Amino acid sequence: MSARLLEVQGLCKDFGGLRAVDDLDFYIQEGEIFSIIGPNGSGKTTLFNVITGFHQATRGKVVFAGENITNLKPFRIAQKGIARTFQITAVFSRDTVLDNLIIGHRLRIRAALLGTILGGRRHSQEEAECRQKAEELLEFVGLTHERKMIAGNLTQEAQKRLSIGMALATEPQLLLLDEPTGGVNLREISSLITLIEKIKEKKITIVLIEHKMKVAMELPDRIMVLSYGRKITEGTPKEVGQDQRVIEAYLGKSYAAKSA
Amino acid sequence: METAARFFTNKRLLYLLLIAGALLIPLFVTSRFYLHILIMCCIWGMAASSMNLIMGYTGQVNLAHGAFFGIGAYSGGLLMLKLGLNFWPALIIACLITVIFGFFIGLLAFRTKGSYFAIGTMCFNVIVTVIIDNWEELTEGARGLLGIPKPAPIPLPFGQEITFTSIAANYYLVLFLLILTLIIIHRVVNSMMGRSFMAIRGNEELAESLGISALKTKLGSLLISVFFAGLAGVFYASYIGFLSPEISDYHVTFEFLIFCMIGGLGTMVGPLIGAFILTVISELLHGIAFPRFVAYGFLLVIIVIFLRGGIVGGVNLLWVSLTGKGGR
Repeated sequence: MSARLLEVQGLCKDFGGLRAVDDLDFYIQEGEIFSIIGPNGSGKTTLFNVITGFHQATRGKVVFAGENITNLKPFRIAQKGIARTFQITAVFSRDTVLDNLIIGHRLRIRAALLGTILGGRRHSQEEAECRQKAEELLEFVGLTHERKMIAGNLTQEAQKRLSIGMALATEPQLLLLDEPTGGVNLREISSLITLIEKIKEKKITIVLIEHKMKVAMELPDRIMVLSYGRKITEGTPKEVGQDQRVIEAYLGKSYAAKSA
Repeated sequence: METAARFFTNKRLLYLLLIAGALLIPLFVTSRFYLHILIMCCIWGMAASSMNLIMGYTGQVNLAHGAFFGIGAYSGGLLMLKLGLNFWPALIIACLITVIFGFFIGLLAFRTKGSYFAIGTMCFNVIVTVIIDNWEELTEGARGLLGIPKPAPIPLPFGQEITFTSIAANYYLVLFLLILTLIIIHRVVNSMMGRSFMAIRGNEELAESLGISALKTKLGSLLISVFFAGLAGVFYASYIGFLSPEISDYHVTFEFLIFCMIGGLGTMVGPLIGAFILTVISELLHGIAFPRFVAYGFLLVIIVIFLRGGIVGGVNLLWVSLTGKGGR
């Protein structure tokens, strides 16, 4: 644990008169799991969207691996090595699970027009590369038996795993997960937690947005708490869990009593 | 896996049989009229298949496709008539000109999305037709371009040559161009490039988050698509020998659109089937003064309400319900 993989400096995002992200400073260390919590509308997803280029920052800087990536196009940021999932689970719902994972690796190959039309060794090599990556990830996210299923027919929990698999297929250094357990019932959460732990073992840095306290407090190394776009506090789960403001405003008094 | 492989070779065999059948047709059908209908089927089939790439596979409703067909046709015609070029170089240059137009129109139109893109491209279509209609110094305007030459003979060794004076020879040429178009589109669709097209169709945001540039991908698809629209256009110009501004009209676009939708958008053979069926019907009913677009309108309404996947989609549904096996 040393190098800072992502650094956000003085980041602001306005929607008209509304400041959704307000002068935010934080950093993410290589190899850690970093969790962002906060009530609805506190700017968590907006922050993700600004980091990944889906929204333009009003002010401030996002530095990834020493490079300023503020306001680059989303596909450029993905190519630099930041992958993300969406709050509303996004998969290519008409395609099979395998096809979904294959396209995830598209950005790492060339697929030029001439090769596509004429064929050739390099071309088939690239195709094979994507397939192999997809096969690896099928196993990794535990969807080997569902490989031929249409993605839209999977359960919500399996779709979450698939969307994480697709993000991993881009070979990221940093993975942003927007509510990876959202819409999944409590009994099915464990498979997702195991998956996130497995990703950490692969030395991929993870940022989580979470509402479920079990996930938000037990998985991460550090937590940042947002409210109205501002950072209230930051620290280890224990520190944040004992912070009086956070306990009262976000976790409720019962949790405070339990942890004390 | 084994059954899949067998199915694949079966399919390939079917295609080869179809091509062989198509090659044999002129031996049995000597009527100029029927061969003419077949040639028109092939031209519209090419145009519809090319539109299918951008619309069916990439999900971008490009309503300027008739304009690109017209740009190809006029570029080819003008290169041959005004610059005196031979058909073959004119064919290639005209297709490239169409691609250049496609690039600039695409660059502008892709600033919009969804239905706005459809409306925007339709405006471009109207603009192109108006320009062709009014730029009389270049295009002869409403008088039209007359006397566009047939393809030049291809010399063979030993002093022989392939000429394109007979209608059968023209049929073979258009068949060749059609098969070439279909092979290339098939290859593109079944490659990583085609997968990116379909990713954009499925969910543009998700595709971007996976590192796929939406603009580049859509533009790529459009350029390949208009290249073949141009190809079909040049052959049309040379085969008919006459061009008027109506050939780039947005009605032509809607005809292509209807071919695609009735045959089955986003399927390999759908646009071809649509183009063949509707061209045959409309040519055979030529004598009867029945307004074609009224009939098309009814057909389209029926397809959109009851058979969203077009003919190919319908056959697939039937196949699944008969055999219980899930197709795609």
